[in-house]
Amino acid sequence: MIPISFLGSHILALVFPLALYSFLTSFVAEKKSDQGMLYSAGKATFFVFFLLTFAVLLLIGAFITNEFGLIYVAGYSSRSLPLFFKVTGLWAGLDGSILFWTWLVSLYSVIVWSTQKNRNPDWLPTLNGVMSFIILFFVSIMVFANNPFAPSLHTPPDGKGLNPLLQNIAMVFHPPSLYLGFTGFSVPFSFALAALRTRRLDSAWIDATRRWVIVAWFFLTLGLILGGAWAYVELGWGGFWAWDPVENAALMPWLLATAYLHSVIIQKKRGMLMTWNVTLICLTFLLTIFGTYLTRSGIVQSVHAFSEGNLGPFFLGFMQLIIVVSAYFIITRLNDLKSRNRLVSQFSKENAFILNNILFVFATFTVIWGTLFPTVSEWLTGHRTTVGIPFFNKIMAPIGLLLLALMGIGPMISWKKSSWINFKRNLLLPLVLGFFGCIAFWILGIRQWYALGSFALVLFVLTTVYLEFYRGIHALRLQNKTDAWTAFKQLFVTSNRRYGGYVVHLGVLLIFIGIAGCVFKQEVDFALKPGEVYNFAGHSFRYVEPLINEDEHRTSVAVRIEILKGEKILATLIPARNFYKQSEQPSTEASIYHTLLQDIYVIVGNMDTTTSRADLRVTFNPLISYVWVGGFVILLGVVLLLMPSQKGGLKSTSTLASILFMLFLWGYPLSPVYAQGMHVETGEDPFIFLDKDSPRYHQIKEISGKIICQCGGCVRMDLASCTCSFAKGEHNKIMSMLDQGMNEEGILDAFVKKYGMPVLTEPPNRGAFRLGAALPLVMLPIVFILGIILIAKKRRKQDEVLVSGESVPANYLKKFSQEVTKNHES
Amino acid sequence: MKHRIKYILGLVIILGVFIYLMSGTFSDSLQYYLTVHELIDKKDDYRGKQLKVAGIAGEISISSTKQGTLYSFEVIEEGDKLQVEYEGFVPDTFKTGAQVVVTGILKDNGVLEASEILAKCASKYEAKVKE
Repeated sequence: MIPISFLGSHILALVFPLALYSFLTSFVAEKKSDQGMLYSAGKATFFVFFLLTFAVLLLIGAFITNEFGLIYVAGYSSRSLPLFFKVTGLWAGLDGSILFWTWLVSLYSVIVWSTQKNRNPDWLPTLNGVMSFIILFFVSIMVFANNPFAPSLHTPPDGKGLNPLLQNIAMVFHPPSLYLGFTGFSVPFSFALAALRTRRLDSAWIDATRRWVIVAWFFLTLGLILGGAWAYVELGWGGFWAWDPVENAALMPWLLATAYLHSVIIQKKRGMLMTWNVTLICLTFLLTIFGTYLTRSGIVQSVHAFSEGNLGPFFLGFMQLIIVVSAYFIITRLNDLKSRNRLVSQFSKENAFILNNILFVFATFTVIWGTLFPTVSEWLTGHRTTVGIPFFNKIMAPIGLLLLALMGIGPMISWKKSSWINFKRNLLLPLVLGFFGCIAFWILGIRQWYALGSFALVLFVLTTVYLEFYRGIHALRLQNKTDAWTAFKQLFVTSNRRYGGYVVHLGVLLIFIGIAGCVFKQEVDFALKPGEVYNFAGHSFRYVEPLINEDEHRTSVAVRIEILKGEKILATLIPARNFYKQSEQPSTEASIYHTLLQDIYVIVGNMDTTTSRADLRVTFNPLISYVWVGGFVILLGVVLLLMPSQKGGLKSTSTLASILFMLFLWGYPLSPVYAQGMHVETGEDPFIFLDKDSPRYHQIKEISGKIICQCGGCVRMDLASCTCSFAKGEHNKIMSMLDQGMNEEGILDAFVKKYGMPVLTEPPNRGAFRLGAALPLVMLPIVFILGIILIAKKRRKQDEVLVSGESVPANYLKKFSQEVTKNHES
Repeated sequence: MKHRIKYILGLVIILGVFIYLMSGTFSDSLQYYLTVHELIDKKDDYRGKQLKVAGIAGEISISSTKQGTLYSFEVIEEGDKLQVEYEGFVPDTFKTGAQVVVTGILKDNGVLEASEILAKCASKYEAKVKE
């Protein structure tokens, strides 16, 4: 067998020159307008994707087979880790994350190539070049600094295990969602550069990237919500957002991307803000890299405990390059980016959008400033000073409310110049309702300005959205003479962009309600002995009994708590602290009583072992469920947005591919079947029934070392080291076979007959098996040579085609050469 | 020309709001971020102020109070020590030898009364350490 580390490292070493080739060839292809070169670059892109897929599968395989010879696997897995979490070890740490990240970019590059080959052939060289360069950057990190396949000198008997905090379902999907979002922005960025490069800056690139941006935004949103959900149920402090640098790193590109999603509408409808949009998308991409840099370079302090890494210079260099290249293209193309229209009036939809963008950029800047403040203050004054959560809350709260107001105003006022009649017709009712709502909430006793403002504005926006739907349905009913429900569905078919957007807005409203609920959060700490009761906020908490459980890899200290309202038991909660033997670190498991109006969130702290007196913390989180419900509504809205609209036809191959891929991604960690039925841990030496000095003992031990335990629970340990009861039975079988006079070869053959070839730890070194073992070693160069031949052959073919002028659309060639000459002239 | 004036006016308003917000919130939420060494050096300067102090947690002793548990421990940095008292819930990663960031107020007796403890686990999900 070739060691996985050798194979993996060499694959990555192969990807590097291939990506470089793809990048350089795209470059040359554009300069010389050489179609054949371009197709050669495309082949290399596909080959890179193929190899990276292989590398990813290899690393997952290494996790499943407990290949602790790899430093990375040993650092994030252990034998007792459930298979489910082993598979997700791929993105549990930095090195594997980078591999996964690179693979995603590569996947996107392949999709971009396939979808744009016929649609925008003049953009293909830049698109492929930029994507290849991004892949090249990440591959160079793996090749030169953080190789996920790095072998360790000594293979430890067991890995360090996965941090128990990460053993949570939300944490399984949170990183891939975020990565899908982050990497997704590399596509619109490439498109922007391609559009700039070819000076084809009308709305074509906006149309081509619309779905990409929405898909990336979708995954980023999903990632943020899952991260919040994880923090809420797993970290035990009863909240979901703490303005931690790592959270901020994901929020910054999200804010800019949201700004972009709005400002492109103006470009599409009015031909304005073209420079701004190009800049926004370049900045969004820059911020995805910046966010990664922030959390991985050690320049900011974070609870997420990323210690100082050695990747800083890589990312800094890459960021500088992005800035220089984007700035060069934008500045040299300023003339082409001139607005087609002017702002007619201050009181117009355009201005509402512009204000929205200013607020989003302002918010982004606030987050960057607050995150970097400790570092900046240290440079300037020598003192490291930090701004805490209050800083963010105080600045972001008014921005949030202003955006909320705009969310109601923007859709209701008209383009160019809004009139008083228009205003009265569209906004008077919502304003009046919002105003009376505000008074009603005041009377109900809500005095905190933020909550009051949120609730009133939510009511205001809700009315505008209702009016929009009502009018849309009404118009369709008159036009088509249908019932309301048909008309409602019709809205999403004819103008899904508009109404899908409103559904997203509804989700945002729900999240605002949830955030406003945080203002009314109540928290109390107390200690109880079993049987005692504590009263707080109209509820009673009775400590029924302590529950202490110990199993093979953890000790669980839990308490049973009854929540009573008057005499009625509302719920029984069991908050726990789990002490994992592997990591010597406890893990707090909050227990939560969910209702739509509020969550009651209980955690247990220190427990006295003799008296069973336990520290308890109870948090009332009003309205917090709305955050999660809002998240779902947003995701639903995005699906509506992505639906192919009737006018455009089915232009959504890329979207469809992304959604399919998402399903695949979600399905695949769930697919491995647990086969733990036969594995019963005995914990004892499996050879205890044998005299250690007898020759039989060594014989059996040697043979069982060559057979993989089939119990299914230990994940491919050999029979000599698995301590389950199944292995014990197998040892007895081996002994009886030896008693019957069979030799080692015969016994191994018997096992192969029963379980098939994979039962052996290594193929026997004889006959045809030797060839089998050598096959992967032989295959690699063969595949590589085949690939080169294929690329070369394709190139020659393309060259011939180019000469004969067949099968390449004439208009394409014309366009291509036109673009090139245009570039040369300028 | 009229447009330009309007835009400059808008810009001035935005900048004004920004500066107002920044200065207004800064004084409230500003905290000194120190290492134990820096704090011991100028103990008198920081007395009674909101501080964040980073270091390594020493031996932790636990005692019961009416409301819960009191954690007393030293935050250590290369020989410099700061006594810390904290009543409440500690994060899962908090243990002897963990990197901690303690937020609190320095009392006259030289003990930091903490209102928050953040702890980093030294071994898990971290980037590769410089070699």
